[in-house]
Amino acid sequence: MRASLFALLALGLSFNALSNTSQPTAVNLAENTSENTAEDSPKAAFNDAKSALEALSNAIKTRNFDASFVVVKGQHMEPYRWLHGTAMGQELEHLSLLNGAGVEMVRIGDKVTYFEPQTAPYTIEKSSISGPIPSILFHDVSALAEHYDFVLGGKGRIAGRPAQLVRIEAVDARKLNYWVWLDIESSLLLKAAYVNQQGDAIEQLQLTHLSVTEQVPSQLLDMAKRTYPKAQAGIPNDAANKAQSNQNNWQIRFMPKGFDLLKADRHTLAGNNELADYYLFSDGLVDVSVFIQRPLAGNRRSGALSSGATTIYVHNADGYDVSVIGNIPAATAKAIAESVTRPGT
Amino acid sequence: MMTDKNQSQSHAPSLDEQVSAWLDGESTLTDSQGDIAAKATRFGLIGDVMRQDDKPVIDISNAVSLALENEPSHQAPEHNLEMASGNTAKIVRFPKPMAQFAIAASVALVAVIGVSLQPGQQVGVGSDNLPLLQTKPFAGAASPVSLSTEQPARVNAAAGLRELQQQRIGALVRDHQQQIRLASQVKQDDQK
Repeated sequence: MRASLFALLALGLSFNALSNTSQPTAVNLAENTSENTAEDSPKAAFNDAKSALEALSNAIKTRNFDASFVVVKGQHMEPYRWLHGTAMGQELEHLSLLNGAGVEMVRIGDKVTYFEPQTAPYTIEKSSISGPIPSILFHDVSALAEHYDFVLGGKGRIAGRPAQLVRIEAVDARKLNYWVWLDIESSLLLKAAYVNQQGDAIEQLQLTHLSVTEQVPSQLLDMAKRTYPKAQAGIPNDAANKAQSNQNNWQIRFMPKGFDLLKADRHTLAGNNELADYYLFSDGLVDVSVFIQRPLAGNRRSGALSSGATTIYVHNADGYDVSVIGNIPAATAKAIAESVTRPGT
Repeated sequence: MMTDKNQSQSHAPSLDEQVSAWLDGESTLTDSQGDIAAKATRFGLIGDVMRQDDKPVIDISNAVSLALENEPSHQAPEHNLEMASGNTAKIVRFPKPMAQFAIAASVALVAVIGVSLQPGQQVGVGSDNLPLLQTKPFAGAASPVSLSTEQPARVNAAAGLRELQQQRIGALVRDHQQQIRLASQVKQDDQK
């Protein structure tokens, strides 16, 4: 009896806590008559999918927050800590992989530094971190409109908060869909998933904790005072054009709709010092790499390997190996790999 | 309509059904249905909390409120607090990751995976039936070999090749990741 009384007391306390902390920004889902007095609070509900995505990219660039999330890839799971703030007129962001040796990604304004094991840290000039969250969510999603449909889904409860689902559906059925759940109150990301055409979520990102604060997280301020490696510029814009005019080009005859060539070159892989002819394609949401290399000795067979949404397809053609890597279905990767033919044929 | 249906049913509707009907405004409550009213209020309260509607109405029933008033106040014993703080102090900081464990997560993932196909497996069949690179250690081809001394050499060669393929796939995954980091800016510039 006493135990149950304590339970009730605790329940009452948590109710009090709820009512005390429910700020004026709290959104009334049932009725649209909520008293939304705070100036910076978003609309009670998103009118359409595109404006919801715009609110998301705005929120993840302007709000101060401290979040934790996990990325689930099949039986494999990666936990991350994600801090963001705006101070001294620039954005500060820190994304940290918490398992294993870890990866630290630090962004100060438009300079992103990657700290990884076995590699010296390096800084790249760009305005978003290339991590588990697709870069396009930090930018103008309308760039995707030609090849993806934006669909407003249902509402639900994610990470303890009311959430709105927005589906980014690939027009081309040979690509994956990307679903995003946003916090109705703050417009921040709560969950995201790569979903295949059968409707199965094959890779999921789920926030486990999110606190939106007035103040910039203090770790970020400390971080901003440190010195980082000198930034290298990104690949120049005309790199792809130059590469296309190169006569020694392999012919990649199949790509799903919407993919543009971003880069083409020949370079040595840092991992094993092998030489590879390299092509990078992007449709704005996902990136696909095509590597063409000398075959390894022995009787090998073609095959696919996957980790969450990422597919690695190795195709052993006559006299060369083609490897395709990207967040695309295995059948699509196979079709791309098999469409590669020798230059001039 | 719903009430008509309820009346025509031979068995009496369950409490939950009555509550549901009442919440939907399909039936009214009589004095004898006080239980239902109480239950409905609690249902509504649960709903309020889950939706974080308005400030929830805290409705702990009278009996409980009275019981709480009579309950002596409980103060947490001092030594408990000390124990708690002692415990938190004992949390061990993880050591800095060492270089030998230092493998990027993506590489570690593929590095543990073998890439030999089972002998006899069909390659390149229908699009839904793609051959998957094996995730289990290669056990050696099950072909009959008359000279037993040949066997270890073959197995070693296969193991060596597998290692090379693993290295290559690890290197490719890493390179893919780095290229994305370098190049995503290009796409953004295109958008401007």
